[in-house]
Amino acid sequence: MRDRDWTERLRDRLEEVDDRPTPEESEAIWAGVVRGVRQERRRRRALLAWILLPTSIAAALLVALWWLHSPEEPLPIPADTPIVAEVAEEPIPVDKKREAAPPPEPPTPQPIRRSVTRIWTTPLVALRMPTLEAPARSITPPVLKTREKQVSLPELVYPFPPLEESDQPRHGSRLGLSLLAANGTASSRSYQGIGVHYSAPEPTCLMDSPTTGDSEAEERMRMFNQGTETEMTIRHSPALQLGLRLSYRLAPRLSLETGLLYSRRAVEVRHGSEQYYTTDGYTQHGVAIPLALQLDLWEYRGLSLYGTGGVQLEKSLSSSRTRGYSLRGEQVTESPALETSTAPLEWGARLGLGLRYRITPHSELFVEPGVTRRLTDSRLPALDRDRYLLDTALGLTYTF
Amino acid sequence: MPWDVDDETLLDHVRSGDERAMRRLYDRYVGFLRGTCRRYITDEDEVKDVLQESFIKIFGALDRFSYRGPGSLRAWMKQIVVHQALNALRARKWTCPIEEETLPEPAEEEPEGVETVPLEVIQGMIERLPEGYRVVFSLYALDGLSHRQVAEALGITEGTSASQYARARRRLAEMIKEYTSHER
Repeated sequence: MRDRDWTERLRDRLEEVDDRPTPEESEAIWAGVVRGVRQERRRRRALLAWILLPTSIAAALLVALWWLHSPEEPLPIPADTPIVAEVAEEPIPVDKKREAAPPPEPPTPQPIRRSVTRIWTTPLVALRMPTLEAPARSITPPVLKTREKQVSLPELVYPFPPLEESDQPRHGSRLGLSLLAANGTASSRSYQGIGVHYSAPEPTCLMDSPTTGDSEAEERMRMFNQGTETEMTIRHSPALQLGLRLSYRLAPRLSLETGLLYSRRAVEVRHGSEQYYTTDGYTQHGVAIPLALQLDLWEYRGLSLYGTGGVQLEKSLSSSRTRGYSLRGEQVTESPALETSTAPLEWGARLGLGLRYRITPHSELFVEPGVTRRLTDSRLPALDRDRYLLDTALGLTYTF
Repeated sequence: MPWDVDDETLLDHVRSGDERAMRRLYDRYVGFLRGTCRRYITDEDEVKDVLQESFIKIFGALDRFSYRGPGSLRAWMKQIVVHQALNALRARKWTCPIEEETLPEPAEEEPEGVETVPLEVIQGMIERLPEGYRVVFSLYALDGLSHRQVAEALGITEGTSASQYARARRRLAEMIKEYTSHER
């Protein structure tokens, strides 16, 4: 160890080295440093703007989409508007409808909310769904806002009979075929795919009737399960978010984070007895834009532990639903997955605890389990039952 | 802000964007970092370039540096300078010259009076070592890398790193002994 001793002593002495450049050299180096630091700052700002600009545009587009998909306020209906039993059989081309539309009526003090067939507009299709609280009739909409699009749909098979759009909405949960692509609202607790809508009047509708409510299959299940105990199980598949995050360091341990992530959520609802039960499976794919503050808690070499908290905006791009039933252990998948891409934006607050591994000075891989408190309703009513959702985010973080 | 503030306070000022604090940090450490750099690179113009790039990196990465007590900032800055110096060596396609000695190697004796040799003389002795010896000796003995890390950094084997280091140490011990005996 003797020779290490003298080199160690040498090292300690060399820590005191002060080999200063001449004042002229020092000034020249400093001038170069200042120039370089300023250039680096400009480069970072440009990079930040280059990344934030498309993110902002994407966020603005999502907000615009949400706005376009939002339901309109119920139209005021004059008291003397005739109530008819069904919607006109022959759809009138939009332009003609617009031409044929009556001039705007003066607002009435009490709009007939309950009996209105509500109309929502989107850039693509006219969306319509019977109001759940409505009595068993609907009225012809006074103004049709946009084009309608007919969608052909696969029929559901036994024991679920072919379903058709009903103009006679009833109380209770119901499943119907809609000839129109449809959009749902948070307040109605409804799930709608292209051509199919599922609606229920109460947030806990799935407890009472996870499937059709008034379908033949549901009736049969009730009959089979008479006198036996039934239960409902909601099973969430692991929720996953995958993508790129951008992190801007505000302080040595604190950073602001945003990004773009793919998001997947899935849930299966099983309802019935041991022998006779129905299943509903929901899967939702979308994109998420988080905005969160991140606090570094611990760091060792390239590995760091951090906590994060913030809000998250999610846009469902597609969701699917499969239904099935089991009669005495015989499993039958009832309907093919039905897709929809007309979901509204969803807000959530998220807390997470993650691990990062630095792969370059600016890039880190992260894995971040977290819990999301959903602030708005989902397209999938089964997800709405559980406001808190455990999920895991994975991906790459780029730090400025 | 007084001149004698500690590193942590100075860091806070630099992070808040105070250019005068940046200058103070530069003035405080430029001598030490230049000395570190000159153990790897002997060309004066190249030393200036490396120092300039190192300080740009240091100021750009200060937000990510977490202060862990006195000496931590100095050690971190030194790491950056060493890294930049090695990058500069690689940029000019430098390969670590393997110094082969055919003469029999005498047993090494610990040089006496290491503490009494002036710093600038020791620094000069290190700078006069053959390039391969100097870089390996600096990385291993003075900057705390293992032979494995030295081998990875210079593209040589661990065995070569160890033998170059042993020869450099012997050569340096001889220089120190020669100096101290001459001074007596």
